[in-house]
Amino acid sequence: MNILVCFTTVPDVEMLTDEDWLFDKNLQIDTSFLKPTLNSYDESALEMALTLSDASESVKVPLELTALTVAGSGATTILKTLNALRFKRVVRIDSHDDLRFRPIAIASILTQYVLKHAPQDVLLLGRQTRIGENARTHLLAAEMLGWPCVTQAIRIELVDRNHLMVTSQMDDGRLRQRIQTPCVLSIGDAPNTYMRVPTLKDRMCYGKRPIETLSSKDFQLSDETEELIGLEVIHHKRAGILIEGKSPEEKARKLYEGHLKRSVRVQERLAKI
Amino acid sequence: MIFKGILNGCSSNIVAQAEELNGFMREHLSCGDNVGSTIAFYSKKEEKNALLGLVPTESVELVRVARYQPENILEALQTVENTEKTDLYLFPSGYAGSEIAVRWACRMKGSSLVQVKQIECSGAQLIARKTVYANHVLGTFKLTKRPYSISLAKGCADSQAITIRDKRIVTEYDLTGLQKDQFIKHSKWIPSETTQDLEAATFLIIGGRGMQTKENTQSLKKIADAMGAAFGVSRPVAMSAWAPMHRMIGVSGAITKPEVCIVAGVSGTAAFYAGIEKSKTIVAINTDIRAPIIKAADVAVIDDYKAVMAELAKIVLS
Amino acid sequence: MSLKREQIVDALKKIVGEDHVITDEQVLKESSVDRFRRFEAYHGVYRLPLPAAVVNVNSSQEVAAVIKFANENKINVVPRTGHSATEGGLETALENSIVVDGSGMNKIISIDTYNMQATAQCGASLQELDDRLREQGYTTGHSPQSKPLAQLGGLVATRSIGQFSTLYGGIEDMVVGLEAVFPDGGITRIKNVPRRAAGPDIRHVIIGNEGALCYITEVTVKIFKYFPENNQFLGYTLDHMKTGFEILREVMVNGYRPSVARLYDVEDGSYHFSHFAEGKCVLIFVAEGVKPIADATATAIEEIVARYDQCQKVDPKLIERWFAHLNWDPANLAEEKTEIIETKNVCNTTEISGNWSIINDIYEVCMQRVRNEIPDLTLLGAHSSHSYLNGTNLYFVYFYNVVDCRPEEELTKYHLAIKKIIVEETIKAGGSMCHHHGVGKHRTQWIEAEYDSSYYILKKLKSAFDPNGIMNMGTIIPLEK
Repeated sequence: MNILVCFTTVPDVEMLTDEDWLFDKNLQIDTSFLKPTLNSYDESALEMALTLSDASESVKVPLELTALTVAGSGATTILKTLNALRFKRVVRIDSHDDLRFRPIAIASILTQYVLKHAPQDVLLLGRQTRIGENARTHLLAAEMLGWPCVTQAIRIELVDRNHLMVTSQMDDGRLRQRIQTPCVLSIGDAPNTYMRVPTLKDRMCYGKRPIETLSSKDFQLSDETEELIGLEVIHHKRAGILIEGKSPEEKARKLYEGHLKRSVRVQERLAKI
Repeated sequence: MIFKGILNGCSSNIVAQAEELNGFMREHLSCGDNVGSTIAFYSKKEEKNALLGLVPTESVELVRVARYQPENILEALQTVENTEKTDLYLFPSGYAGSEIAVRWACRMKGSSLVQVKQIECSGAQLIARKTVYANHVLGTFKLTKRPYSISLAKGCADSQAITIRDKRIVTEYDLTGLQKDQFIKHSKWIPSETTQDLEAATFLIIGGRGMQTKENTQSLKKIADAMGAAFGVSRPVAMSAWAPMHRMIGVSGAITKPEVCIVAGVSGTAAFYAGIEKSKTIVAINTDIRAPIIKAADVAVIDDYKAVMAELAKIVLS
Repeated sequence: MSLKREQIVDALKKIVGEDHVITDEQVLKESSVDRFRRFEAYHGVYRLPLPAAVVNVNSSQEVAAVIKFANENKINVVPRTGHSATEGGLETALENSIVVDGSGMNKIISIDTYNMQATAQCGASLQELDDRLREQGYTTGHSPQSKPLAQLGGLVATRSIGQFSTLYGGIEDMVVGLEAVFPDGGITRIKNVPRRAAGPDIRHVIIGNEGALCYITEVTVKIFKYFPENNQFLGYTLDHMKTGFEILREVMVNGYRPSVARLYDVEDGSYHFSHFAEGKCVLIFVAEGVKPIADATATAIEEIVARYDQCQKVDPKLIERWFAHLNWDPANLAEEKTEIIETKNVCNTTEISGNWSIINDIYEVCMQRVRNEIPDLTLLGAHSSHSYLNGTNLYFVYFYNVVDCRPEEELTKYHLAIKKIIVEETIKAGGSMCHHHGVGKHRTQWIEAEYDSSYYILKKLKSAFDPNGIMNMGTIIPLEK
């Protein structure tokens, strides 16, 4: 079974101070000084692919994992790590374009990669990035490929060469489905899916394998049908009154007397107890 | 603009869905030029009448399906919508709405955007706004290709009860026999509690990763229960499985609007804050005065939450 | 006849009041360890004897009364303030110890901007003190990574050092006067004078004693004028650590005092600077102070570095930003526990020092040996962060997966095994096995090798000041078998 995991790295915007939140006239913000991190949903996807790989021997299903990102050379470190974690193939599609809000472009690259470069049985993506929050790439890719798409996956298990057991977290419950490949799976909030860390020995043995690099110019990128025209920083600020006191107990008392006692809702709730 | 709202009657939160759609339509599409109707999906015969009562427009197309299954729902929509008259499709908030909206737009060769907070009809184009950069930024987008398919952001509009009494069923479809889901060999549904309790709560206590352990999470929940408050957690807590997912508050969880919200041991990222920003009063308890939540709260206590909450519970219950 | 636990608890309650004596089991467990044993502690494993109680003290008199009682009854005392120690210094090595927690003594007593001194109790938070000073245009100059958590008592007891030490010095250069309680219950005060030659400098009996000789109750430190607007950040990538050490030496021996002078090797660098230094070593400098000095320092460093072709300059903004986020964040520490339990990947460190002529050799032999002899490593690197006229330190950083190993075996299999290699190679080469974290309880086995013939002085101090053996036993001087 060939599994392609598509991931992206994003700057950790929680590190930005209030003063840093400034967009220029090109709707760009300077995040060059922030260390890039793996997008958390993609991290889950990568770890879940590796977990499938762990099981492949016992289930007797040979698995070939490919990790792919559309990015500039800043992604090299994480690609080396993925090599060290023994992804069979690690691919970077070189692009210096602003891809924050271009899920159609990414989906078309993925589709062409799958159809023309390396056939796949499963396409695995994180639900959305922390930056663009588009949440569309996986759906667009599924439509472009003509494949079914199962979303909100939180657990994937290997059944046999053509089937996976996928558990999805829906709004009001969990759906466990045995599905036939090919398919697109998108990963939601999956608990306990931090990506494992390669050992130094693996980094020395496998980490130095070549990274397949293609250019985004070799792909036909479809136009986006949604155009970004404005970005406005949201400031969440309230009074922030600090309650002083010599002990936590004193502060609790002041909190109650000064701010909670009068709340109708609190009283209503108490009346119900 | 001719628009259609889509209702997923297979979901257990149909009332909230309908009221949210209703509120959105009233807020953004109530001017005379806009003509709206609804396509409502359902699966159980006995739910049809209740569903009809929740339709927010006068006219509705009712579509019965076997269950909520995206490939079949999309096929059903293709059967129902066989002309190109509709300009805008409104899909409900939540994952189901978003996934159908995007795939539908693809099939209809139109624009899509998910988790939309506001729209503006400006001449030939639709302007839509949604949060980006983990809820730090509001992005404005121009949708360029008709028909536009958007899914709503949770809490994007004040939910409004449906007041229209008489509905006209334009057409009824029985599409329970669709088979676009043949790739699914077996499926099992495990229902769980929804986030509805949190979303309806008027008094809410939330614990964050400052709680440090599953045991502490359970202890804080006990205090919340004793005080009559709903109990929620931030994403790191849910992701560590110290509390079930349906207690998660934030952009990927519940969007709440309590009168009083006590937030303990939460640093307060923007993505979390989206889940509580509609609160009337936010009280933050944290040992770190520099945590982002402090400036975004009405009142803050810089101290160990355990001691503060224990004393608060004592006072409230005495 | 030694007292039973209940008797100890009762006696303590009479001294400090019931409310200030904690016997909650979870608190006792957590008080038997510090960050050294965090892997097993996160897994709920606590192997050391539970203390009889944790006592929250509120005055020097209370400290004296508690310690006198302990001394009379031969009960081990563990002095504690911020609980951020990393070497086991806060571990309870003996049965029924009393952990004396001074974090409630958190007053900042005075800030004297004429004599350039600030006085605070042992439980005063360094972050709070420094924030308060900075509001007025001053600083302590002391900024260890533990700053958001650490308190003055512990910072002095461990001979701590901060990120800006190359300009401001280590804690030993900053302390003016002290108050401390000795095992006999005596409260001694060393007054605040700029310098004196009235016998040996007795402050150095107290600074670095790690609670093995006395309990520090009050500290006066120097304060410095602070000119952050003049800060200049310099960063470079380069190929070889050896060259990096040479550049650091050039800067130091020519008399320049940047507040920060750091050299990261490729591995440690990749952890922090992968966004601009893939596969390279990194040199970082910060020039600080009044404008003429800051500018001259920065200019001189740039000239020195320019002589080395392999050095490529890095955008200063990247360095500035990285620096602003270096300190421990309470929220990150809370997350650390979950990550460690889920990923079973742990980070630990060992810091040493050595003269210029030996430091690169120590670096190379340690890196080679650790890499070859220790399994399951996921990262092994080092950086130099504190330079002096005659040498520098090395801070070895290592991450490892805990594989096929119960939580209680992790230290022996990995951290202590790595530490042994680094300590032994360093002492062999003539360096010091402890640069700034303190000996704690886990480098004691090498203390005689560290001191050689001068161990006599250390041992005598212990026997003179703590004849009954009650002060943080097992720290610095190993327990007698």
